[in-house]
Amino acid sequence: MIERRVLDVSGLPEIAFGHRDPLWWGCAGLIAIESTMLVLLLATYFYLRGNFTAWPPTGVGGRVQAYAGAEAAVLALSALPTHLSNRAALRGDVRGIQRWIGLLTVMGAVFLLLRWRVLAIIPFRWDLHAYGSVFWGFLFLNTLHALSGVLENATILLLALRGPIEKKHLVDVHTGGFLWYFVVASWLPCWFVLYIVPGLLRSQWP
Amino acid sequence: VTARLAPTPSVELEDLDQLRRTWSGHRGLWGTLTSVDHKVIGRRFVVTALVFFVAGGVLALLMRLQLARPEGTVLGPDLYDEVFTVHGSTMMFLFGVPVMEGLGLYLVPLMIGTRNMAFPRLSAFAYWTYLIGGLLLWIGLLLDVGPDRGWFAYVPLSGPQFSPGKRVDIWAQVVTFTELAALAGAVNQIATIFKHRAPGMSLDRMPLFVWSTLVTSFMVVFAMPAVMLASSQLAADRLVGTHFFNPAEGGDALLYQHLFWFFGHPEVYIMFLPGMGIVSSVVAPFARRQVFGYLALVLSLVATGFIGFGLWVHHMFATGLPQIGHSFFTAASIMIAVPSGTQLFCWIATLASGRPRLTVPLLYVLGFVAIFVVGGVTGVMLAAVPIDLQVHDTFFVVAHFHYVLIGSVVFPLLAGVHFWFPKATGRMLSERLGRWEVALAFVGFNVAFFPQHALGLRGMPRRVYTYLPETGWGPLNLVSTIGAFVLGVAVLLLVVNVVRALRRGPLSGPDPWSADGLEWSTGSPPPPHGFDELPTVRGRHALWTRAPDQPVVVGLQVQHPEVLVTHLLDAEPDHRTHLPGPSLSPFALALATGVTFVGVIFTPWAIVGGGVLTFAALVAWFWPRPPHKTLHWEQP
Repeated sequence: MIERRVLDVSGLPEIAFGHRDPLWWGCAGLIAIESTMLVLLLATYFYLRGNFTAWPPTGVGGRVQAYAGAEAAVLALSALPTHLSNRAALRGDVRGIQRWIGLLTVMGAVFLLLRWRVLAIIPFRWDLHAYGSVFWGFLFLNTLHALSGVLENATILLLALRGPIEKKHLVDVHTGGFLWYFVVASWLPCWFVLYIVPGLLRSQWP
Repeated sequence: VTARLAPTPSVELEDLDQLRRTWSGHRGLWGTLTSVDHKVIGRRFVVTALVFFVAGGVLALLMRLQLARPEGTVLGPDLYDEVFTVHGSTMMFLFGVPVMEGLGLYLVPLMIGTRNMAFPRLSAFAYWTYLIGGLLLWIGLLLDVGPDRGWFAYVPLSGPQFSPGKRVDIWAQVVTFTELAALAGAVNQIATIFKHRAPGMSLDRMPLFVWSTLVTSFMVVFAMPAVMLASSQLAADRLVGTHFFNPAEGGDALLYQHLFWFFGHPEVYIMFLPGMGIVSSVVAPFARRQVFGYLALVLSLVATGFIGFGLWVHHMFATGLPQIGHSFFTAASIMIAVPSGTQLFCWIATLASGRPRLTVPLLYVLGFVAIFVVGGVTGVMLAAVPIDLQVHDTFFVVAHFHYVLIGSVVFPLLAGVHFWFPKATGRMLSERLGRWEVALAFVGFNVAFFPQHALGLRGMPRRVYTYLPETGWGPLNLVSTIGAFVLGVAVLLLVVNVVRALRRGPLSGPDPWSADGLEWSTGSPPPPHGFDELPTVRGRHALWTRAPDQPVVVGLQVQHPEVLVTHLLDAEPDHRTHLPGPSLSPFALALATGVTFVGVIFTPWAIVGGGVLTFAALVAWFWPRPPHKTLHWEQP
């Protein structure tokens, strides 16, 4: 046999977390795509605003404001179990994953229930005017994000409760957390623009 | 890990058999539906896109026949509208983007020295989605519900008021399908290029085609959402009565143009940059020297990627925008000539200082250079607002973008087809037929499109199904039609060349061109596992710079499809990972999304029904199946 230089990689680990993992880049790509969508929807919102003398042309009303505020609060708080389930995944702590993903799924479900109420009591429809269209556009896109996030978390929870848990599932939990962070971080600025900014600027806008 | 001396001359023979078994797909129809091999899917993408290219070309010839003389009677006005819309949509959405996506899928893993894409099932999903979208467009045309509002479907013409029926809805869904496929492909490429390069292939040693694919993928990620949003809003306006583009209720027709061109202009570069990558790949081996100005070429690709997002308003100069916008977008449009020119000079320098072999791929590249310069010059002309306003919506614009797109997409692509055909099939194309192809394509193209500049300057508008004899446009139109048919003959010759070569072309061996990329170090066609021995790299032009005792990667499992993951910047080995094997899930998911998107043409409730199907398909996709990969030490 001839002696030959080789690069032996058999000692390398089988999983890695964060940006070392290809799946993380897949999720980052997905987040970039959806963020671009939301930024363009925000651009649409402000572009259409130039066509109105009063903005918003129809107020959403106090009840919707209250529900939307509760939604945003639940969503913001859900970052905590996300963080804790990520840490549990890094430790390989299956009980911790069950506990925190469980809480995260419940909080996501509460968010969706509140969203259901908001959709039911908004005082205008998407076909009333362009403001209605873009407002419902935001709600549609975000509800889709949140719904897929909750379904994903529920699926991970089911797996964590039933097993068998493969090593790479720990990475999946971590990456799922990354996606839920996106749901949280992408909705809060939209909520601010849709519900808070009009109140702040009402007096200055002609 | 570091390289170490070990008494293993090469992968043992029984291991090679095992490797082949591990990475092979199933046979027969089941194998077709479940394959996740990047080579199989890349090949499918390219072949399907070329079929759409020929089909779109037939529509072009029909239009040229209709316009060959005044008051032609080949196509009526309604059919003509469908034909030019489907021609444009096919060439942009079903040919230009997917063919480059397919080429990237086939080549990138081979060029960076890995065995498959980072997300093999996502590649398969992208293909099925693209195929369903393409079939939707063409079945629509055959059933006389082909879209007929131009490939950009401007509102208000395409809105509910002026376009009743389902033609525009079909267009909107075709866009959604093909953009979804492109996005899936782009994310897959980014992860693959960042994380699966062979040890030693740091970013500054990456082949230029891989660089072009990377930049293109980033452009796709940030450009395609705009058109998905625009087409979804258009569909919503038509289906559920939203008012995004309805001025009567505060909507805005120009908003549609902004969103569309925020995608539409980068789209040009999304098709063009892979072409530049092909040119760089072809120039070096045929000039027999390393490419001149590697850094300048990479920076030009990246610069084009950024500047490409700042030009979209030059498509809208005629819409009455503020003066300051005109100035900015004129400047930006002229600026894009800088990176394009830089690349051109680098290739000229490479050829001038090398010892060029004038084979067919290089001849296509030379044709590209000539045509692209003309297209670039008319581009700079059109960037000037006064000229743009004069020739807006005339045949001058048609001539310009065909020079740019055929010049920088089709010619480089054909160069690439001739260059990599031996790699993909193991056989050589005929050099003699190839030279006829290049000659006919070059002459035919110029005869077809150069006169259209003059027609545009003489006032002939785009998208008219006929014209009167008194306009005097007849003779030049006839010349243009003759040229189009000559170009058609060139494409026919290519088909003949390919069929002949597949049957009895001479065998090529692994590296018929003495080229530089890693793809030439494996068999032609490559085995299912890509490489018998996974390579390492110590310089640009991997094969030309490798050491006599260049180490190979060992220690990956051969019983499972396992690959190496490396660090993003310097490609140092990081960890090992399993890739999924053959699976029906991508096909099932594509069908589920297909049902959703096609259903939405008729009822908004399809989102609910299709959503349930899609979720079910996704769970089936992700749910772990035995045999299980390495289990975690703690179980519930």
